[in-house]
Amino acid sequence: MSSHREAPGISKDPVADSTDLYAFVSQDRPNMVTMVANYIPLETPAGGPNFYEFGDGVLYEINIDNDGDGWPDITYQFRFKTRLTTPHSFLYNTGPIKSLSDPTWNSKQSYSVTRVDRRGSQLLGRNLPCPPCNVGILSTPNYEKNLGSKAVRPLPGNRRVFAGQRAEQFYVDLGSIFDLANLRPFQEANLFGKMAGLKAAPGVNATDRLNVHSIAIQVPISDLVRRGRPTIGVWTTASRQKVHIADEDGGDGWPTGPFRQVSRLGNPLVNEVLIALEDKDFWNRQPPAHDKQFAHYVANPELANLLPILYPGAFPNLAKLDASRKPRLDLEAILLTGIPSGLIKGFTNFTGKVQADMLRLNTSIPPTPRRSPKFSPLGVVGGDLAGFPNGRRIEDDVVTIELRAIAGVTYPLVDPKYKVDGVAKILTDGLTGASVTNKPLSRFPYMGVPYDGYNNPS
Amino acid sequence: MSTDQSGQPASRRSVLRGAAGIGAAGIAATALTGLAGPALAANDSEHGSRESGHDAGHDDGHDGGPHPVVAYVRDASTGHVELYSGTTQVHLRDKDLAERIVRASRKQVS
Repeated sequence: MSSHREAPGISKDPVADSTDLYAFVSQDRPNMVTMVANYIPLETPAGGPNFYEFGDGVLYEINIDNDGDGWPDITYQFRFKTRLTTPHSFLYNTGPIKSLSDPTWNSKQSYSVTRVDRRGSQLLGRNLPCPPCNVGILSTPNYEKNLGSKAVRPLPGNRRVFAGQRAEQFYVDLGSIFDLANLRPFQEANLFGKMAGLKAAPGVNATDRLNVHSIAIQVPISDLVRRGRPTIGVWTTASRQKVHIADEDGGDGWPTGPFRQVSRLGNPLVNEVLIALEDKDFWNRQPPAHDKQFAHYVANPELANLLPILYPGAFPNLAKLDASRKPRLDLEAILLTGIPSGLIKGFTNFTGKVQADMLRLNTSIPPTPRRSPKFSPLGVVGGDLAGFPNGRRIEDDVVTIELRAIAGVTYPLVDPKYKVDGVAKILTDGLTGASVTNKPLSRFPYMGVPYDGYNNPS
Repeated sequence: MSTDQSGQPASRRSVLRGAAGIGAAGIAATALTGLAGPALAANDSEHGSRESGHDAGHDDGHDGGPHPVVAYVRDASTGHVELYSGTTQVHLRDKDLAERIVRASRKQVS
């Protein structure tokens, strides 16, 4: 998955487990950047009676580097707290929840937003309401009208914020990919698929009809960039305090000490697919500025070496490239430094020589209208400069993009003589945006309406 | 932002360090009342103090009251002790304190 359950340690702490990060120039407000950080992987909509909530003890942050050093220059911090309206009831809600202040909603969550930069910190908002989870047609009627849309709140400085449950928008055929890197459309060519007699089949979206918790903030571009440097690097982090005392009288116990980062996400799939198991949780605890130590995973990805083995004869040129041990400078540029100017006509999101995994967004590139023939969910690889890896939009097909990139499609950027394998150009897990049931919204927070438990019971 | 930020640009570090000094002094006074001559060797409260300063909107359940203090004897033989309170961490090097805490921890609770 993009970053769901991507490391052994954080997979045991789902409320602090970042799943996806998006950053894009807003389609409907092109002078604004929207950043969405998703947490809590694979929420089943019927997962009550204690439905999903952000962690009250977790410090969630969206970080922005605007000078290319891999350190945050601006950080938006989010802290949550939960209050029970009816503590003596075991129920999440004691009747239909018709508004965010409805007393029938027992377990309410609210949050604060703080902006931090080199000048200090500014509290932008407090006691901002989260919407409830989309329990079902009786408990949360007219969900988006009554609850979801009402949780979009203005902040000073023409900013907007939302934090709460949303429909998972990331699509991936997990059941196939993590079954020995099988891709259903190509499984008859897979070494083990062929042995099992499998035939080509459409992909299955394993994350469809599941929810996540989104933290979305929309801010003016001028809030983020430095003069003359339109490209920003974005990543999200979650931190917990170092010590937790499980006191007999302390309820859930109490944390103490400084916050320690436990989760990190910039580019999709980096920690998930490129970083080795023994380093994944360590990677999660590091700042992007320290990513040089992980650069070898990007320069020589294990998956690129496996593809010619798992699909015999399908990737002869990739096999030669692997055997040459040449570093994958294309992947290093895409994921660690940004793409320098001169490689792709009219495009750069290069931030400098510092190798840092950040979602790099060149804010000077206007959004591509959804209905434009230029719009491509394959982003820059598809000729659409407003999509991944120039930031990441909700609809971008990052699984296909990264599969193809790892398979060698982007290597000609650094070696024009390299001949891309034919299969690499059409590699896919067989999914598209059409594989997602609840589609993205055309307005902030853009993440789709969460699936309800009654109609999505399993 | 919550990991060790050594190597961070001076402009940002200086802002954060200013806040950290206030936090460290406060926690030392709270935690070390009655102790003789501790050597406050260092503190790792750059981020912790920043968090408390940057987190004015969050109710951590300790409104106005003193925070509990947790002592972690990292190495009694060298006297390395960590004190945690609120969102701060103070590193002490005090062999006497470390040994007293270790001795106390071995006492039978009746």
